[in-house]
Amino acid sequence: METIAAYNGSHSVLKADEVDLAIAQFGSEMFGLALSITGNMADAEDAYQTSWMDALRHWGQIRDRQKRRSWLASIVARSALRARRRRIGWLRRHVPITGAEGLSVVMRWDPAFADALALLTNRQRAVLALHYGHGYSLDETAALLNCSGGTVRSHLFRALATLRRSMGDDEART
Amino acid sequence: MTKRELDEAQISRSMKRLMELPPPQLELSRRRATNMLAAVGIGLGTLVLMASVLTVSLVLHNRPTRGAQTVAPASPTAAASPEANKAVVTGTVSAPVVYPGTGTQLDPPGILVPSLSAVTAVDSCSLPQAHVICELGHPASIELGLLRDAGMQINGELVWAMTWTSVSCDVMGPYNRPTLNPKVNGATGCDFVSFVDANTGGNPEAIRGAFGL
Repeated sequence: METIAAYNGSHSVLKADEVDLAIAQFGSEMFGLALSITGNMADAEDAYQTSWMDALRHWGQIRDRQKRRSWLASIVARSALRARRRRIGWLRRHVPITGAEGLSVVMRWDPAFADALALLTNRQRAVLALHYGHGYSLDETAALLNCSGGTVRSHLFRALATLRRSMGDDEART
Repeated sequence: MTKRELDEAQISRSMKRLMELPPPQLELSRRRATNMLAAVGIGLGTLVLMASVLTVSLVLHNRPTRGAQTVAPASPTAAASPEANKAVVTGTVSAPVVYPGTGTQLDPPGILVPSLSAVTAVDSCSLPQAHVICELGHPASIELGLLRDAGMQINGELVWAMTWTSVSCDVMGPYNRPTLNPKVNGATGCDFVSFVDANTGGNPEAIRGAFGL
């Protein structure tokens, strides 16, 4: 028996529609989250792709559509953190990241803030992105990053301190 | 120079704007998946496990399953006909199908596996010495099921039910007393179902009427 095409059952069609809808609905902010954690376009694109593949692989696990956004955010955050780690670990084997891919070029609306953001650790940027960018509370951010609320508050405190110091210095210099 | 005050509103504005950047085009193709898996560095054990799962799924895929598939007609005669490229939807009956007015019913076959494939059943129509009653062209669908017809004393015969839709409603019945189904109208035509024994290739029954298939 020669099978020339697999039949897409109604479940598969529904799934494809849901995925398309989710990509259209959350694609931008998930990519923004990946970009703010990794700090460069190349890693962000990799993390974004990987996280959608992870999400598709486990799509059936999330039935509550209300939770889909936070579920995707946690996958993207994990993937972006891993991508950053991979980048650090394999630095010698990777093509160096050019300045054109960095946050300061991407965030043209506030290059000083982008420069300051680049000084933070990836976890600090993850906290900022989820808390300020996505609007999650600190406890929700902690749940998404799979760490304690205290850790998130510590990351936020240090991140804000670094940002203030860096941007203050920049302003003082100019 | 005054020191710039960094307030949360400014961070929020900038971060929110970052979340509005257009994302890259997703490539969720198999090649991309392969590259991703290679990049992550899947262990050999995992690959062996995945290969085993793939083999099992391929084996299961080759036997008739509950999900429908599209198969190409395989007979040389069929290939020469204008409908050669027409695919046939084949699958397994998942819920009882009742053919109104005939006393015939097709039930789910459970785990029974046919000896003959769906393509062989279709070929039964095309062979020079065709021994199965068929309509012209390829059937619209072929479904595996258990045939029940009390009148014909058939009780649970594993068959391929080949269905042709929108075919002519031939007058049937005793001479001069046609038993044409009164619900049939010229617009929709009739359905014709020919049952082929999925183990022996016999043709226990064929029915025609407006079944709404």
